[in-house]
Amino acid sequence: MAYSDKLVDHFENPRNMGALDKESDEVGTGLVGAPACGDVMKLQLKISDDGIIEDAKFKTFGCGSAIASSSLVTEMVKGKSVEFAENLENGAIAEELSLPPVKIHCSVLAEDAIKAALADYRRKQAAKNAPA
Amino acid sequence: MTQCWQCREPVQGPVCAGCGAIQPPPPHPDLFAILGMSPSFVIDRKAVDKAWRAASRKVHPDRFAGASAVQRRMALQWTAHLNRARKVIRDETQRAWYLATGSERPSEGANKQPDPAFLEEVFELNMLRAEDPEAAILRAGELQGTEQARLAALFAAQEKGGSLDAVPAILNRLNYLSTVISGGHE
Repeated sequence: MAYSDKLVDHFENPRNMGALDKESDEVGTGLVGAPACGDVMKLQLKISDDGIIEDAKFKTFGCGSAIASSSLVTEMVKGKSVEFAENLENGAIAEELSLPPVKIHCSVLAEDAIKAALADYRRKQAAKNAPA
Repeated sequence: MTQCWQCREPVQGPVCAGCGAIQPPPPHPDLFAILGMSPSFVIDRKAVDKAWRAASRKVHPDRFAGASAVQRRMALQWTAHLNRARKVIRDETQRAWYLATGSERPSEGANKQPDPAFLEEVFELNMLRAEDPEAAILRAGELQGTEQARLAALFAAQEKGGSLDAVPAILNRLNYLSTVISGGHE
């Protein structure tokens, strides 16, 4: 199978690999998995008070396409608004990396990870703002 | 009892006893029934192979080489069903999935998320594997044993009316664990 140069680049030089403080209420953590292939993807977003994604980190155990998808998605959302990330669709990731059809689910996983991280962030914010 | 499509006599099984015509296979046959087996999680693989050989002989395309194109096609369809039945029933994961859901396990798209605590455990196991593969594999092996025991217990309880609803989730967990053990992410 021929993979695109961009995909290989993200796999060999993954951007934003690592972790953020998951206890911080500025950080949303999304952990998702794909039972079919056994992949797990952890994606974290650090979000400022005005709704800008200041930092994004990931750690993925999976195939090259899953690693490249999560690497690319952190690059895509960094510096953008929460609304932008919320509306990000897997098709944009798949297209950018020219994912072959059998690997489209890797981009779905990356989209799910972003959504899960945003949901976690919202949960934390709601808990923080709730009257004690 | 159905009628033979050729001689109109009542027919049982894939081949008419009267005129010898092969019958059209049902579109979604019961995989255990077409091998002449009762559905069961506990199986003897040799018995499966034996049942498959016996069933295959009756519908083997060579037997219908001189028959009409329609019958040759039916022989191929039967053979394909029988081969699939053997493959699904021999494999523990596929067999369990089939028994629990009545359909074959999708190779992809069974993407129901496992519970977060388990996913966290799998993530930690993968982290550990990078540092200490032996420890990670041992731990994953233990968890695998626990899940396999749960699976067997569910099927044992089914005979007393227990539900198999939890089976797909257990199979998904086993799949994660086997990926940790093999270290294989294709």
